[in-house]
Parts: sequence; C-alpha cells; structure tokens
Amino acid sequence: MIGRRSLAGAAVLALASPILVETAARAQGQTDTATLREELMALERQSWDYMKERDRAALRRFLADDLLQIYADGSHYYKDDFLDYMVDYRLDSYDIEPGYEVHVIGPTVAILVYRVTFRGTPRFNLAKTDKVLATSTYVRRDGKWTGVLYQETPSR
Amino acid sequence: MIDKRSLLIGGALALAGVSTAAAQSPDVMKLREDLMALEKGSWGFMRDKNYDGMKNFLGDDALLIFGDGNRYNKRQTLELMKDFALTNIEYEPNYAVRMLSPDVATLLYRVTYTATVKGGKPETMKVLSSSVYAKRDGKWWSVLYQETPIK
Repeated sequence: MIGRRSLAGAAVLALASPILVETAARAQGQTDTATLREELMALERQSWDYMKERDRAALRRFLADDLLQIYADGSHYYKDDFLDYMVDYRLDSYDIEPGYEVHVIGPTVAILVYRVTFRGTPRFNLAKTDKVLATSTYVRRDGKWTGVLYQETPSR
Repeated sequence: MIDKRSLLIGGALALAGVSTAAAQSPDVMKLREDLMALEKGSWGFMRDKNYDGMKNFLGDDALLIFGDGNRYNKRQTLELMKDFALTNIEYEPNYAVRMLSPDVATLLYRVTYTATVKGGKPETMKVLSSSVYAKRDGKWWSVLYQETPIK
C-alpha cells in the first residue's frame, strides 16, 4: 500500500516537475528583475544626488563617456557638455515616484522607466518645477551597469 | 534629468558614440538603414491601420511613450490605432544608430507628424525619437519607443 502510494506520488511529482521547474524559474526571474530594478534605481538616484550636490568630479567618474541625455525641452547633451552645463545649474529637489519599473531587454541591456518631478534653476533663470516620464538605458560593461542613454518626455 | 539647459547643441543629430552616416563600419551602417526601414514601416502600419503589421513589429514587452506624455504597451497601442489617423509624416534625413549590445540597438531620429485622435483637431508634433530594437530569434523587434517634443 505504502509502496503503491509512493509510486503514485512519484508519478504525480514526475508529471508536476516541469511545472514546478517553470514556476520556480519564473519566480527566480521575477526576483532577479526586482533586484535589478532596485540596483539600477540606486545608480539613478546616485546621479541625481551628485547633481544636487553639484559634485562634478563624482559625476565625471560616474557617468559613461558615451552617455547621451535628451531632456524634456528637446535639447541633448553628451557627457562633457553636461558637465559644463551643471556648473551653472542648481538642482533644488527631485522626487521619483515609487512605481518605477525595469525592462530587461537582454542579458546586458536594461531600461529603467520612471516619473520624476524636480525643481531647479539654470543660471540667470527662475526656478522651475518639471514633471517628466524618463527612461534610462543601462548596459553591463566589465561587470558593471552603466547608464548610456537618458531621455525625458514632459508629463502631466 | 535637469531643467532648461541653456547650452543647446546644434540642430543635427551629431550624437557622440552614435552611428550617423560618417565613419562607421559597413555592418552598423547597414543596420542603421535596416532599422530605419523598419521604423518607417511601423509609421506606415499606423497610417494604414495595419494591425497585423504592427503586431509583427512590436515585441510583446514593447513600451511606447508619446510626446504628450502618454505611455502604451503593445495591446494599448493596437487599441489606439483604431482612433488614430496619421495624415502627414516627415523624417529628417540625419538619423543615427547606437549599438547597445550585439543584439540591441537604438535608432535616433527626428520626425514631424500630423495626426488626429478620435476625429478631433489635427495636431502636429515635432519630436526627437529613440527607438530601441532587440534581435530575438534572428528578427529585430521594437521594444521601446520614446518621443521628446522639440521646437
């Protein structure tokens, strides 16, 4: 009896195992994605914080040499242009909404998508608050995630 | 990331690290043309309400962010097509491609289009667009499209 039940149990397990494996793999994938989402957002916040602190040297080290940024006003900046620009820019505050997400495009490419509201003052201008929907594309190079393309779209 | 940046970079998409027409490998230059052809094709699907064409163009995980700040997944984009009438489209000639990995590339271009939604007033948008493609099972799929309005 016990033996038969064991055999039946084994048969059920054998049938179920592909499903269990798939479920486990999916759960692992979700965990990995969630971890990556937090890892990339931590990097993203770091760049915002450096901006707020006006830490040009840190940003020079932090940003990829081939970084391209496209801002909500339609202007775009390479790394060196951006570093020059930030000399005259003061970021007062930024607030990233909690519903940010990551889109894993491949093993070495992932895109962070988030909404952010920020207040800042370019030189000789009045402080202004902007709300944007931003994407930040990261690639994995030499074992490290690096932002290579940042783009904003004005948001309501 | 920051507000109004007074340093505006000149008009052309002369983007660092990006493959414009000059000094790029033949493979990348070919890819630039291939992806632009796919991109123009997708605008054609939109204009012609070619749902099958669009289904076969967008990856299942596609995300589209339009210049008005609205975002759409694949299903929502196909739904939007029903109410979206594209009446005019013009591409600037200096588009560019940037390789993110051997199987992922971003196309960058400027486009001006006129469209109506649900028979409303025609709106003309001039935008800087990025379009990320991923090569899966030998085929390039659109996985992220984003517009930023420009003047």
